[in-house]
Amino acid sequence: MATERNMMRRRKFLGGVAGTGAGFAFGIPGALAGDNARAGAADARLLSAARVDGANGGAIWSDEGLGEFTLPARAHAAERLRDSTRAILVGRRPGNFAALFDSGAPDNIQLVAPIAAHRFAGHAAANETRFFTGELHSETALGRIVLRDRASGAPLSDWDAGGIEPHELLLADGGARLVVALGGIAEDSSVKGPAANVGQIESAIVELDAKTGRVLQRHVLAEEFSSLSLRHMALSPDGQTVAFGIQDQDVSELRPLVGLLRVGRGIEFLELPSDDPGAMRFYIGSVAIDTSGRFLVATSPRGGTVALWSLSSGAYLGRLAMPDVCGLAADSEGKHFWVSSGLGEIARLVASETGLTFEARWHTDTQFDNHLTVL
Amino acid sequence: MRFRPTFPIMLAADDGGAAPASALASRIALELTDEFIIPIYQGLVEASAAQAEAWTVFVANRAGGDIEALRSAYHGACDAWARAQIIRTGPIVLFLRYERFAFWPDARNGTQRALGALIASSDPNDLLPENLASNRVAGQGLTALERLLYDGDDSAAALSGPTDESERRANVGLALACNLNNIANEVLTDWTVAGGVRDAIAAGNGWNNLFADSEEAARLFLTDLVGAFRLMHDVKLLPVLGENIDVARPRMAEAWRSDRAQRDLALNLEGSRAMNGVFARHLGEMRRDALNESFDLSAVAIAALAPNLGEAAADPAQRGSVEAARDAIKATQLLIVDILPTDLGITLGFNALDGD
Repeated sequence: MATERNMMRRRKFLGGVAGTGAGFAFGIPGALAGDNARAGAADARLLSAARVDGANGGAIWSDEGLGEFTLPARAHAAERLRDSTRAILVGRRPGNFAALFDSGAPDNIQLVAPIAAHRFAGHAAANETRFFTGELHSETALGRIVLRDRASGAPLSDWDAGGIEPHELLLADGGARLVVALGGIAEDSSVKGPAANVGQIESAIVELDAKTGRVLQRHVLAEEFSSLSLRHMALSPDGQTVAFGIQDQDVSELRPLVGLLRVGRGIEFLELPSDDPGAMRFYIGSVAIDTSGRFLVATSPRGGTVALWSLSSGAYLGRLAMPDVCGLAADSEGKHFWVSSGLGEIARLVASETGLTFEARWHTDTQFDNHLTVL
Repeated sequence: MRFRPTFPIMLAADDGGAAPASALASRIALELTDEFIIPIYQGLVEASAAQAEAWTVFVANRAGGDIEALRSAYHGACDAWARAQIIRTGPIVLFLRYERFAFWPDARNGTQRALGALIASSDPNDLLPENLASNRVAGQGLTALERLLYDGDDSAAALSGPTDESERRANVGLALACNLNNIANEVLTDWTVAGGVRDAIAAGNGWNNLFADSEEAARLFLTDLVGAFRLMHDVKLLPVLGENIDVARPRMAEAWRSDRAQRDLALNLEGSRAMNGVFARHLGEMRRDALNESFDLSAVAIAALAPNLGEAAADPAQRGSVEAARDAIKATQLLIVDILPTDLGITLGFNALDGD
């Protein structure tokens, strides 16, 4: 049930920073930094959950400034509703809220509750008529996929997610298939501690019929990969390939951390960074595929690393360092990505066959949480 | 919505290169290793060896065995673990050793099921060290030993009786105690062996894909210190307190069977204080004093708790003391986060702290 709530605080807009020398790190002349920073960033608006002065909230960034708003608890990932300026920010697992709002004025939030005895898992996926949330049982973490009204957020129906702990979900194959990453970690929502199934994670990716919820395909890992939790995904422009990122719950040896799902077929792993196979520190926080469909990027906050692969060949192409990076989204321009960090940085990256480079970079006082969404 | 400025950063020529390691961070990492971590694991080795020896003696003469000797050794091992419990960096995280040492909190009572299966099994191979090192985590560790020593109407008779099940229970206890000693020895060896973690940190090198250099090790240690307070506040106190006294959950307290919850908390804070002391010696006097005062307040608040803090949380007369400890611990955590990263130049991640 959605409820109206106004949680905004207002502060006078402090204005753009180009030319305000005090704002530039390292004492770089303002014009140079400003020109550089504005290149290619026109019109981009990014949404992320965030820590705002130590409180839970959200942030909308553009190169004009950063707008912040508060939320009742920590959120995780956002989804833009199709053909709309509205968006949803979903509570971090085990979340007890999701927030629907107009991204132009996020001061009138509709709070949405999970279905009975369940908690949100942090992610949502939207089509033209509704949106889907993954929700997990409070005690068992068994998953449900909940179809919700896109205006009110009210639940319309729900399906068996096909396993434990649904995490990110997306619509592939022209919207015909709902692809769900089942993290597989069985935790009680009221207790922070080791998973009940530690060492025996039951992770998988399932493809559901987006109209009926019927399981069309279930992709499981071999026994040797029972410590891997498949959690985050990104869709290629043709809708037929899904990149996925992994968290390894056992750091005793290196195992794959990034892979590809060929929709309706199977999954394959990609190689670890060849220049330092441990660079991702057993943990991928986000993945994205650029709008040209040529490049796949993954972030690792523990490794402070953004890494690049070729989507066509699967080859690792390079990486760059950015402390506490996690938020990641493909820009509307091919080969370009946005990344954000928990230390307040936003950056626009450009990919090529020889690696990633920063195209522009900004610093803010806000701690950006795990995921970034282009509005 | 309120607005803030956003500051462009000039791009350096080599954006992908890592910053040079901070000499101070590297120095702190080595000081922590030598003065805090290695001594703590030495203590864990000694206490877990004493516990394994106590079980060896007991099993050799079950009929005349002294369960109080086992319980005393268990408390010694728990004391050592409560000091080590806050360290989440290094070899303790390999092979699920951390979870094997104490599978807690155990929301679904997995310990009971796994331990029951281990006792019911007639397969001697289940108790072989190599199998315990890779078997299900939940049936092992201090949490399982606590069940053997404190659960039931007469746990002493259940271990010393003439039945096959009693013999099996005692052998399970011995195997679990030996496994804990093995884990402690392995962890200490990994830290101290030539080419081990200590040498890596001293040389500024990486170790086993857990960190790339001693500066990253210092960041992980600072994360551990903050994590210690999350452990005390988020894991040990909030679930016990519940949102109000009507939904307090005494049995969510750590080691409530052996009445250790308050003691474990006090030792966690003691370990945290020792760890903080290494960081804080590099601060200015005023900042160091502020941290010390906050630790004092947390220590006083924890000392005021009843040994069974779970029951205290559900008792109107005592609940205030548990809430006061919760608040004091949170205040110390916030002060650490406010002072140490800024003053020492050691980055404390936000996304890296607890991914999802």
